[in-house]
Amino acid sequence: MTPALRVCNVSKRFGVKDAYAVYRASLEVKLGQIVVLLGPSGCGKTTLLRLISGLETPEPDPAASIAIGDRMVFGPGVNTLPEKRGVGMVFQDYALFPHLTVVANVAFGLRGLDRAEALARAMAMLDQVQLSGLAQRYPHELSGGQQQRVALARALAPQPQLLLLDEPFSNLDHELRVALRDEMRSVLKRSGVAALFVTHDREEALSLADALAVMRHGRIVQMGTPRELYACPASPFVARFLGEANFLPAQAYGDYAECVLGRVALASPARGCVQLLIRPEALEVSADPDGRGCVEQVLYFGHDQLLSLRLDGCERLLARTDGALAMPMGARVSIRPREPVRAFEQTGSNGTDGATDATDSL
Amino acid sequence: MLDPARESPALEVALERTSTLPWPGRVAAVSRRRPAFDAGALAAAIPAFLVLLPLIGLALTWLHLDGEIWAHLWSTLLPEMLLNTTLLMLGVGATTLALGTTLAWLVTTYTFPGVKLIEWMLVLPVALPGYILGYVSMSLFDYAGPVQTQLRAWLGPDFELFEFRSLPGAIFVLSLALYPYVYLLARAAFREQSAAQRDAARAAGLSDRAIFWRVALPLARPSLAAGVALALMETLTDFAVVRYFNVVTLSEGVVRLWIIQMDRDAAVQLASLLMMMALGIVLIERRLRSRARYYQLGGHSRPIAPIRLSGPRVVAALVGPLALLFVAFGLPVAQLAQWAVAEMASAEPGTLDATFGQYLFNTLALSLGAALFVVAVALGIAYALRPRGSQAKANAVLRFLAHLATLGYAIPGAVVALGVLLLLAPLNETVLAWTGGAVLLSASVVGLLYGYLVRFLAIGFSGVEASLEKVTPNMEMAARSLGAAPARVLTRVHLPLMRTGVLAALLLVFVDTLKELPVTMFLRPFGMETLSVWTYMLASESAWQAAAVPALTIVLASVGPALLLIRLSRSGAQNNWETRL
Repeated sequence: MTPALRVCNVSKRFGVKDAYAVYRASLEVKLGQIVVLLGPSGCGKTTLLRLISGLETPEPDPAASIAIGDRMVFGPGVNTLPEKRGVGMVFQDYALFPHLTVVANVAFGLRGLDRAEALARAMAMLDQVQLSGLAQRYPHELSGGQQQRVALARALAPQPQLLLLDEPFSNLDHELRVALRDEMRSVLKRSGVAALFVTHDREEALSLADALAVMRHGRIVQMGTPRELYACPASPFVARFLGEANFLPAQAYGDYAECVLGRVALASPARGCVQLLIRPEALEVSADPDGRGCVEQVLYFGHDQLLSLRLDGCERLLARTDGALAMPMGARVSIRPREPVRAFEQTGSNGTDGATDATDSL
Repeated sequence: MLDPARESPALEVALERTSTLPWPGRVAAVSRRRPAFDAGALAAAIPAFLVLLPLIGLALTWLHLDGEIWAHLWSTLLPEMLLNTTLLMLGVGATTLALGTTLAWLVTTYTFPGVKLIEWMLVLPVALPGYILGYVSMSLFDYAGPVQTQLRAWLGPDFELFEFRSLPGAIFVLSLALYPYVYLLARAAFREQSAAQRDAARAAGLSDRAIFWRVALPLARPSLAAGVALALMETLTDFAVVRYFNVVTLSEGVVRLWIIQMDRDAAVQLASLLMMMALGIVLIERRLRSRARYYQLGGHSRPIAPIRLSGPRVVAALVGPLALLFVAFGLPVAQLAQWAVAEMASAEPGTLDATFGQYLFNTLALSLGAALFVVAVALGIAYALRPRGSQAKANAVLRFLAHLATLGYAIPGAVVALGVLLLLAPLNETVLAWTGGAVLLSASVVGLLYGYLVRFLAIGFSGVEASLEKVTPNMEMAARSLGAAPARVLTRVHLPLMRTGVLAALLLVFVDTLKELPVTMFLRPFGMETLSVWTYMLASESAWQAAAVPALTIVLASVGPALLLIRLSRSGAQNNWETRL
């Protein structure tokens, strides 16, 4: 089946001397799928979105192409205008037309219909986002959340094959964001539109996405389901970007490795100097007077807690445990991974340096 | 962002092999098109450059300074011109500053019966151009005029006011005509100041008087500088008032050398000096402004509650402004009306109607044409330069050029006219040949519209640009993604949102053209009279009564837009307008 969107080898830079904002990005969104493009700010994700929408033109390259549905919109000798691409867009600042009422905003893209029909369609769209009562208001009379729902309705009204969303929730406060996220997901799923969603918020990304693409320095570094990416990140950068992570230096010998925690099993075989990725929730912590660790700090959340542990030999680890487990500060504990862990061979280009800059920008 | 070249050499080699992308070293070979600026912005640069051309042309004359001309000028009138121009500017600057600031302080800080009415009436004198107010005042206040005659009747035959036909007289007239610029900007600045600032000052033990001098006035300084600069630019432009009052200034000198003595080379040299002075004012104003940008930090500020006046202070607050308005507006307009009625009664039936009708038509057609042309160009430039994400950097240069092009407003009209003539003169022969001798370019409507464009682009541009800011780049993108082609985005999104701003710009350019004297006078096609030229011609021949009919028409047409100015300066968002107006 033809995917809703296929991007191949698309690059973009803004000046001859500038660095690439997007470099040879390839991406696919299947019909009805929500794909989230996740990355730190400045990684090129918004530029990629604008390339797909046609608002920016990719660098000429015979290998580069963008297809929406079965229609090639960019490729050798092809560059369809934005207004002919049939792509809906939702923006961070909503970008509603201030001189039009809510219903007229939603009806803006409905052309080729007579007035009554267009209005009926717009009203039906507003009904879907539960705003039909506010149809005659002007955008400035609405709250931020309401404006964003109007923007969604407006983008969906012409029944685009593809919807592009550029950090649509980042102007809203946290609680509203969570509620709106769930609502948006169900609206998108009901309408069956394929969506590409840009964000730098990992919680948003993990909970919304059918598939997730992580971008860094203009290129897509990994793509897969949220589960795959969380469990099997391709690099320490992806691992850190998707959640809290401990990295331990170790020496690998095939299917096991030696580190400060002793001998641990590896999820996939490796040899030589490696970095082990251990998620905080994958650590088993038990009180043990002879244990090698010591509880330094406890952040108690109720259902769980985050322990900061110091190992003899100066390593510091984060562990997430059941909230019921009482852990006084300074208690000696023993620490074991619950399951086989992932090992990253140590290389220069995708090392922990990158992982740090990703967490900085969060 | 990724710069593969900066990553490891091995990676670079690998990428070189797999990619066909243009690398910095071989852009030319592979890239088919990579314009340095996008086409739209370049299209905007061309009109902006055209507007600057006459000024550049004049500036270039400094490359071959004619020592003989300067020596001659210096030995004749130049020292007097320089002295008079300087004194005139000092006088008008100080008077408009004092009047404008005091009046603005009065209407923003105090409340008393009639304050709202006075607040907008104080703008009215802007509807009386200097060349009209000048000759009416002359007739009213001169030795033989009704005011001095009346005073002599009361105080004895030996009483004499100062010699009105003099430099102080010219300062008096120009200050009355120009103080509204300072008033408008000062008023807006005082309005913007927050109650919290004043409360803090009061809590620190400052009296009302001390608050004015130590808080309000320093905070308003950038706006005051802008207002005085506008008044000075108009002063520098004026050649009519000073001529009525027998004061030889630079502007008057340019006109005299050019029109009367037909010495164009000397006129050009003098005009370029005048242009430098005008640019000097702009530079000083920019300096005063940029070093002092005052913002009210934090959210919405509480507006200042005006202090209620009572008893005799109300009388004082009313009498001052009303007396000023009487002298600057009421009396002159009444005098004009009386003359106009007398003129119409005495004229042979039919003759006045025909001439007046023709000149009125010329004026309206020209003003309408200029308004449409100037605003269309401004709209084109502003639209092409609107912020659009990726091109922002490239456009910065062009944006600067466009703003530079709005400098024309600061340049005296006679200088602009000379610059346009200099520029068009070489083209004259070609166009004459083309059209079989029918069109003399430098004395055609083309040249005239060009002159108006140079002079008034600033007014059109700031209005249009301010209203264009209402359309965010994302709004435009949203419309495009909803299937609207650029033309439809322009008609459905930009223009509806910009309507008020564009209409206001049209109206302001229209009325400024209607009032404009020097550019019209020097660039109009032969025999094409307008109301402003007609008024000036008659007035300079002391045909005061005859001049009243066109003068009154100009005043009546200008009152509406004058009131629009105060509406525009009311909203903070339109601040942009005034600072460059």
